[in-house]
Amino acid sequence: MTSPVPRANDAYTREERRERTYAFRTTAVVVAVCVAALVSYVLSWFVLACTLAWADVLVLALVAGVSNLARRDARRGRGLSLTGAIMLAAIPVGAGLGIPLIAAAGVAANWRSLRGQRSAFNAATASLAGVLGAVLYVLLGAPVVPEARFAGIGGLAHMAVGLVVAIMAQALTTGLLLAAVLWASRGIAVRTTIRGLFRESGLDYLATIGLAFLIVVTWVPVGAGAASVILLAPIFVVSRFAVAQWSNEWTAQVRAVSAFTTAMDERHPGAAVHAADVARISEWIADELAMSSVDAQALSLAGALHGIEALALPGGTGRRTAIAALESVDVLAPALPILQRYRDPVDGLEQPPRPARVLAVADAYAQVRARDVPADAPEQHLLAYGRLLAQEDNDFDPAVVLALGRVLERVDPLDRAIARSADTVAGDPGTSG
Amino acid sequence: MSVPLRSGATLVPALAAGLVVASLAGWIRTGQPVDRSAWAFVALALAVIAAGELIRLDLGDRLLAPVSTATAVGLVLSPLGRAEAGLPLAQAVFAVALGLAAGAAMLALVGRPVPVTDLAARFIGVSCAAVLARGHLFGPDLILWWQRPEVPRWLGALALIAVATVGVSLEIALWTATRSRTWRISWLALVRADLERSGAVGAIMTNAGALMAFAYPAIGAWALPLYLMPIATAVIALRRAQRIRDTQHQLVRALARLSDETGHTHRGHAQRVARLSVAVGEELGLGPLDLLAVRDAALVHDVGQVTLTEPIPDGATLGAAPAEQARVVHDTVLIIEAAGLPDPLVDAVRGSIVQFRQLREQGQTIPVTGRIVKVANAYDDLTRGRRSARAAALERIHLGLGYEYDPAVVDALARVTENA
Repeated sequence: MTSPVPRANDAYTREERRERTYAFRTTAVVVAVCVAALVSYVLSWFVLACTLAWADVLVLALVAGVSNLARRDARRGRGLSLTGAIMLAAIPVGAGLGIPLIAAAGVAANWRSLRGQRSAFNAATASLAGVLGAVLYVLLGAPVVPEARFAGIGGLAHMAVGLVVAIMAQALTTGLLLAAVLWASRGIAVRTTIRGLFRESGLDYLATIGLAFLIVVTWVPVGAGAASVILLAPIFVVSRFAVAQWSNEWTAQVRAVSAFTTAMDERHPGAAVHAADVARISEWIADELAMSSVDAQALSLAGALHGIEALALPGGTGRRTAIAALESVDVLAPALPILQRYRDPVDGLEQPPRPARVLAVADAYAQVRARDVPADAPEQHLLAYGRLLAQEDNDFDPAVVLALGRVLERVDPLDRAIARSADTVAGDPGTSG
Repeated sequence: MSVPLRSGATLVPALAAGLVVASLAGWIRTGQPVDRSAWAFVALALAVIAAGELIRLDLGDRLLAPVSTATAVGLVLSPLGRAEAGLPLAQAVFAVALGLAAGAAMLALVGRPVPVTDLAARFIGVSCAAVLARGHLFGPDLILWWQRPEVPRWLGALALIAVATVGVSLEIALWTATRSRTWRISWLALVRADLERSGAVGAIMTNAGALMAFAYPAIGAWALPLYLMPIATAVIALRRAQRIRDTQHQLVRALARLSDETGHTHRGHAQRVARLSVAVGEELGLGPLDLLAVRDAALVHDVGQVTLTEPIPDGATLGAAPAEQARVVHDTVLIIEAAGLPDPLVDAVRGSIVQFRQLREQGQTIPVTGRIVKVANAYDDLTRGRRSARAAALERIHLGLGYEYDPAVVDALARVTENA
């Protein structure tokens, strides 16, 4: 293997320069997070001056590692993981200073997806968030071993409040750091990532608190000590199963969509790429218009499936009925009202719903870009937007067209380099808690 | 192996009724007063046992009430009262009976069926745990023993979990015994199937129930909601898993409908082939999983036709050129693999195009499910669901006997269609 020969900056294409910028920014954020994790850990020694039982830390790190072994959670952006619960539980049982080790064990156990920058970012984020949560917990005066302040409902309530504050700090830190790295690697607005993360992960964080609370209660007031992680093993297994169902349900939906897009692509090669493009553009517009998460998800589905009508035989009456075939699949049903109305005229008597108007714009934009804009043209995304505006038979919702324009000023939603760059880092906050 | 129970459905409730009477009689005979110091926990536990009967987990032919079971186990194992030995045995068993009876009454009130045998099996299982924990069978009372300072805490917890496991295992044994006679399935096979299906829930029920009792001295009645929380999570997760299975099933139906709706196949063809394939499969003695695979494979076997720009006339692949048939199956497999449908179904679809002689002459593996779909598809392509065309269709299929079609499957088809 030969190392690439360095080139002068002007020897790179525009796309390569952008990729280099993204890569540089990403590395800078990852290094900054690692340094911050290290500094915060050193400083935390002054606050977390409790007894540190290394044997307990090792037990917790081992359980965190085992619980993350061969983890197959497909969905990114989910907050619940057993590692997160164990890191949270480590604070009251007096193992707060072992949090970085537990975080590292959780990341290392997921060895199949170990990658330099991504794993370093995940471990550092988990450590930084965990240590900040632990410091806040202690500063609140919440009970920590060996203090006998767990007794009674007052002690348990104080611990619960402390854990809630700690996990909120962890969630906020994780969210901000993830948003920073996604901004650096894909140009995604920080508020978009934060909003999406909290919208999707609220329940997961609640479950993490519940699990941590259970571990601590069994460990300290009930008195099982480190053996509590063995006694609670079936509960860990079931919790892991429960977490997997989140992913599996999402995977089932993805596969349901994939079955139809595969059929479309076999019939009309390239249809799957177009469908994915339309889905992605629709999501960006929905976000720009601050549409509800339900509408945004329905739009994403409708974008991926809008080509299904092309499966009907020419000259037949199959367009509407092809869409009707989706009726029986509950997870695809939200897309139906959009698919049935997105070709309706906007100036008609009965306006199509807003998601349908968004899909119409996204579909038209993707078509114009694929058909009318040369692949090697500079600023393809803006050029295609200009062509869309210039269409004589333009019958789109002006508010939606403007929203697309605002998105395109900020970022090119179809930039493949962005997607590739995201894969190298986009952290899995499941391991960070 | 079959358990020698003449009628489990009657015997198990009768045994449970006997236990209730015995516990009441034991309580009256010993004249033990009700220890009111733990009334809050007992009242809460009874309410949860009753309400837990409404929070059921449907595993197809098995209904579980994990919240109710775990709470009942927790109640009989908890060291309640001033003596820290818990309720006396007779009172504990009777209390569980009261809770379950209240649950049955609530089920009847909301118009849901009351599974008497299931309730009786659960009651006997929990009573067994109570006897092991409080019955002085092995010397000292287990509940007093684990609280001794010299007994390691983890050992005490493990002992409670072991007792709870015996109780829940007895419930499984009784439930499967009653069903094994009704369904004519070997008891051991039924136990294995039940453990595979509900083993995880059983494990968490015993675990949570025992830990609830273990935590009671330290945190009082709070132990109940705290250790029920993971069970609630499990119930939600299992319902989610059921929804995933439903999605897969709906997807099969939608794909079957797609080729009809887009005008590529003769309307109702997939459904007829599915019905016929299942009937032939039953005639050949296929198991439930194979029958499921053959049904779903028959439903989706033609979905690949939607990728054709020039459709096959009437969607009848029987008359299509071999290359065209291969293209349809290839695209069908691509689509159902993208859908994430199970491997046996994909194998059945793949096998539905292979000539039977390849198995006979070259030893190629063709699953019986694929051979059935091939024959059923040919029959429906020839008859279009018309019974009057049966004789001609069978005659045509017989021309390919042993070469194109599996003779055993064709014989089964002839028998099935004769009786239809």
